[in-house]
Amino acid sequence: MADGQAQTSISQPNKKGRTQFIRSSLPYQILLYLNGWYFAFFFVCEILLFVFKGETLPYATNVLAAEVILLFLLAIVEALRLFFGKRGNLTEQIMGVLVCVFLSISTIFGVLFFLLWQTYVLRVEIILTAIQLFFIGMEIIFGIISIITFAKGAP
Amino acid sequence: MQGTGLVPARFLTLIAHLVLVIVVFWTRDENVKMCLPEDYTSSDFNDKDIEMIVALSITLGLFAVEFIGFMGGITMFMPFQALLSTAAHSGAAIALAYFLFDQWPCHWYWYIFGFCSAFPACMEIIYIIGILCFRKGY
Repeated sequence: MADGQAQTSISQPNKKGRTQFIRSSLPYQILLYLNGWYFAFFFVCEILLFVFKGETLPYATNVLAAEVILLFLLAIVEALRLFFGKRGNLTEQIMGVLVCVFLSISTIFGVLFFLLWQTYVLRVEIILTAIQLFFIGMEIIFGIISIITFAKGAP
Repeated sequence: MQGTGLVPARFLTLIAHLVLVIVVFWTRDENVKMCLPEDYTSSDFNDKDIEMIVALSITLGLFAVEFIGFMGGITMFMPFQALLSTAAHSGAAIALAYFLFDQWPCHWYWYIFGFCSAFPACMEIIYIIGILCFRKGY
């Protein structure tokens, strides 16, 4: 319903007799926007959980530092991914969405590290990473759909 | 609407509440023990445990309703519903944190459920019905 609403409201000011289709996907944009906020939440939670784990649990030397650095790297890649996804979707460029889909493979492994391969996995982290993986999966699906619609629409 | 920050605030409080509900679901044993007498039998425990499972499952169902209304864009830009939902869910997140750490007895959960989960979900359902059936409010 919201999709149709956006199309009519934006395409109204066009010239008479010309119809312009908007191929940018609204659900994809909503997902990317909310994922940006969710990842900020995830990042803050992970930092606080690292503080908790560093205080209460014994760590081998340098392991905690490596995990925190990996979290920061994940944040950088995630920010780039969301940036390219948003821009690619709004400007209807295939390249941007394609970069977003490829970067999402690396962020999936980054998130899987926090789900499976880090030293101590807490229950909260399982839930937080599961939500993040859900977002990434939905964005891959919608990204591929919008690549197809952009490719179809290109002359 | 972009500048007011109601949409991300509502989304983040919803997510925080959802995460805490799943954590409570996972570790409800201690809370169930708190509302039983000292010498409880296993059937007493099972009764209370099932009560808790039912309450948490209904909560998750109401979350689904609210996420459909919110992320589907039906009530995403309604300031009143956004404020109500943000207030209720942030209250629920704080109360559930106490519920976990102080091990509140399990029947107290129903108050959190009623005020902080059922109330905004009911308003959401009213809005969804009003918009989809009666074309009202947008």
